[in-house]
Amino acid sequence: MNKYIFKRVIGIIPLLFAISLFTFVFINLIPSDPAEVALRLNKTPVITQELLEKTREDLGLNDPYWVRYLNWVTDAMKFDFGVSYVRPSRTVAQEIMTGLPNTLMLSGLSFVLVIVLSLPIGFFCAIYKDSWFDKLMRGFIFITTAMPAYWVGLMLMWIVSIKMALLPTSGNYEGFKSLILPSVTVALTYISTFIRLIRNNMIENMKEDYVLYANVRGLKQRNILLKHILRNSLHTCVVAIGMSIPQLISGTIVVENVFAWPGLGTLCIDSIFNRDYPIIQAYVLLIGVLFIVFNLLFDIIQVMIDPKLRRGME
Amino acid sequence: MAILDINNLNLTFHNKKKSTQILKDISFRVEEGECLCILGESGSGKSITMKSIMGLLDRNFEISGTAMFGDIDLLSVNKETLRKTRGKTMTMILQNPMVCFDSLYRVGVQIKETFQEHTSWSNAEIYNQSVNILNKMQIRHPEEVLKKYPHQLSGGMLQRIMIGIALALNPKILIADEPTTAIDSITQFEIMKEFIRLKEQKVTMIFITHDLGIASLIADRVLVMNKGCIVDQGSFVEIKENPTNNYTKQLVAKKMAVMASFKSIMGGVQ
Repeated sequence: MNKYIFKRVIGIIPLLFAISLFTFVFINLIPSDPAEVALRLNKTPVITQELLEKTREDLGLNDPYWVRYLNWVTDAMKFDFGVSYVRPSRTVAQEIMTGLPNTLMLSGLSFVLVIVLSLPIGFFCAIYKDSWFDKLMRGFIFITTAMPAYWVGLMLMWIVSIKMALLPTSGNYEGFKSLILPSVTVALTYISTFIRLIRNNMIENMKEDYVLYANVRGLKQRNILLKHILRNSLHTCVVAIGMSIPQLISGTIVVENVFAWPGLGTLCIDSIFNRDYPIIQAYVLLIGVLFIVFNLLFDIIQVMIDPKLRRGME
Repeated sequence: MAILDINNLNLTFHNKKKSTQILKDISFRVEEGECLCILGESGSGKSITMKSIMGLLDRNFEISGTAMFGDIDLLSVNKETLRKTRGKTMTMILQNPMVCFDSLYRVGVQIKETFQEHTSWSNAEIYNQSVNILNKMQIRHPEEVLKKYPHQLSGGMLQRIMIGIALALNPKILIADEPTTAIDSITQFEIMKEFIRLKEQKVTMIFITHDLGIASLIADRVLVMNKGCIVDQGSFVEIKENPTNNYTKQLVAKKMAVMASFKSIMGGVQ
């Protein structure tokens, strides 16, 4: 088991390398001169050729690509992503650390909502398959899957905040109250996916022979459902649920912008509009690393909880 | 005395659009200590007859008739009583042992949950009984086996554990639903020895199979099913020598032809 984990952890090193390389290359493909952008963002009145040369030299843009890449990667390992072009007084790391807690709060609450709602709903849909409840939920899944998050966000804002005046429209000034609408919006897309996943998984499992045999042995229906069917279904869902965590963190971009939530997403979009390269680079790298780490983590968890997979490791 | 007495069992499957009759007027009795063999090809309704009397079918099936098991009618009794009967006084062995156990739980845990359901034994008693039934089924190192997950054991071993669980609570009747179909020939032979031993101990059994050879080993009485009806019944020799029904005639003739060609081929080789 330890050997397996060790092997997997070693295995992510080339992946991390690839991600950093792609991030670097793609950002550098953006067709504008970073030096010029930096100067313009600092409201330099007249941009002269000398000033451009000097800025390039200061930012290290005159070095060959591979030197710049190496510099960037080695600094990134120390969580040093340089200085923001927009606000040179702040480092990129500081900017990210300001946004990250807000994003984590948002995706955290969304994740809790997703699990708390989709698990029981999926469970009851499977037990009462084809009942009015199941049909209602299937309609709900169908509709919510078809609704884009930014539209849902705007509609909720209009109905709940403006018409009913229950919750703040945007920002994060009212603590938990400001968090509700954005996280419901983020959660909605995932809820329908997970209801369907859990429902279908359970229905599939109900047809399995081990359920028939559990019935043959006269076990209580409740035990069969909770101990056997639900647990087996969750096993197949674990990876999907695990992989949704980085998706939730990165997927808040649109919703954060709709609700002016000061998280990573808003930071990222602002930086893209401002061509604030160091921040964009850092954000893309961070999300890439998150995906790899969670993928690894849940692969290991899956092996640990499944006796069939575990046997190969022992 | 009849242990099980089934009268005019009819089974209809209701779909959204149409209804299909699956079983027509099934009536038979199982006497104490006898081994009744139900013979028929796939889809003839053998297994579903057993599932319907055990209450293992869902709401889409409509059942009529009576099935007296002792003094309760299995077809009209409430679900809870039926559940308590299943696995205790009326037990069943299924055909595919490799997939009948939940792969997430150790074999011992699954034996334990069965006993917890039907007895008030303490954990220690349950453990002793579990070891006991594995010993009876001639499984070596029972303590080790209880700690294993189903995928770590062979099909034959799981089948024997299943038989062990089925017999542990001294059922009045044991239903074996093609217990030898899904396992290889050598294991089949071992499992059949087990069943013959049970027959010698006068365990009341319903043995479902499509294999005439296996039926010949174990049957006191044979019931031939085709397309949801009972078409013939009698002792094995009667069925084999004087089949009254056309279908039985065909079944026997085909089997004999296969046996004959098998013998001639094997004879040619040796």
